[in-house]
Amino acid sequence: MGLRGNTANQPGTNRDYRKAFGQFSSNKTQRLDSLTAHEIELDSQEDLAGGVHTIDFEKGDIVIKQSGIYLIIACPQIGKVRGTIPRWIDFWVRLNNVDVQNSNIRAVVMDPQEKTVVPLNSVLPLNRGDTLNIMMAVESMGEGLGIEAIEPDGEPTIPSIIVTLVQLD
Amino acid sequence: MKPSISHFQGTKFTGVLFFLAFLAGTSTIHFAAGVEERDSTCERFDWNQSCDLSPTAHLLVGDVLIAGGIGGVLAFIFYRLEHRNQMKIDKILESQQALNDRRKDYAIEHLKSTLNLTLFAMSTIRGSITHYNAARMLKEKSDQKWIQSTILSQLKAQEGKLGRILQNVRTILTASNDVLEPNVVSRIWGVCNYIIGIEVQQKEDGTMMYPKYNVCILKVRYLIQHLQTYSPVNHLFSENEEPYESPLIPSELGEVKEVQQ
Repeated sequence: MGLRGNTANQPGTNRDYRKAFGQFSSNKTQRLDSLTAHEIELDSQEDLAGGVHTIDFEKGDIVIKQSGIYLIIACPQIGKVRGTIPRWIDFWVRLNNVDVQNSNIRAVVMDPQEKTVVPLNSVLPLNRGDTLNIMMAVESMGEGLGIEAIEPDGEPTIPSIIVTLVQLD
Repeated sequence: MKPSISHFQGTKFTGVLFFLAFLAGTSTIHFAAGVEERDSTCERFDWNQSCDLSPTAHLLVGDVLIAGGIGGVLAFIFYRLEHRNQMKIDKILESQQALNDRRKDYAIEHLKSTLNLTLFAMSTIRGSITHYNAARMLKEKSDQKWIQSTILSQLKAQEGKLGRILQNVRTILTASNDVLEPNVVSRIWGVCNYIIGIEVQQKEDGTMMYPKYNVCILKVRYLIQHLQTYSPVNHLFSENEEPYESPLIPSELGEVKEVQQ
């Protein structure tokens, strides 16, 4: 373990990182059709140009590979399809199938034209093998409330959520 | 605890005995000196061939010599007794530590084998699910129904078995939580909670699935790896846990192909 020299720019050389980090995103629009809590699915991870991913993921599960204290930032792109009544949407962190205290945040969406990003952040001590999920719940179903991936012309895709994890210690 | 109580009683008895000896000795000397006739020309503290010790001098010299001597002897005896006591206490503590180390070694070994058993139980459940899903491809509906119902009952039994294994892991944790590190206990407890909360589900198309199977396997493997860093020599976990490795999460495609076959 340890930082073994800066060989990052040399072709064909694997990068080795001392601290774990990871960035995940989802290019899939996820709207809720129930009032129960829903795990947000992730479908891509940052490219490390040949390096080893220091955090794994499978669907919505982010799997920690190195114990430590982590900063978690999740930024969902929220919106809805129909209705002009203000509706709330909540996001929080779930660790090993247990909801994390004081991690919940709420945003209110007024109408379908409104597109907002709500930052969710948390610092947690995580062990190797711990699984982390970003959860979502909405006030009402049938209005297409959820997170949206947008594909603007001439720009990169706007993912429905971007999650960043950085090991602090 | 019995030996230490009798030891304490013995010490107490010795102390009382010495105190009585001291009292008798000093009293005898004082009384003997007090009744003795003394030359009137001698001063109170004169002490030579013609002058015996006065009662006052007897009292002082007697006290200093006898009390000092007896006190010294008593101090030595009590020091020896205390030293012996301390050695006995150290011995008890050492044997207790050795017992704790043995319990910890046993708990780690038992946890490792039980977690391996958990892996096996999960893989058999997944195997049954694969067979259940493969049975859907059978043309004969009666065969399909028979196979699926048989596999379903097997699945129930296997889920029950997995539950019992996880309960066993929890029992080990409860029994050994005084010797295991708190973070190890909480970590294993968390994984047990995670696995026990996952149930085999049936999809809309009738196929069965084991949700988050790969993540469960990964978590258990990480735990086993961590337990394998335990050294029975110094009874500690190594902090040099392998940080990164090639991804263990296999693709879902493998499972799909397996089912299709």
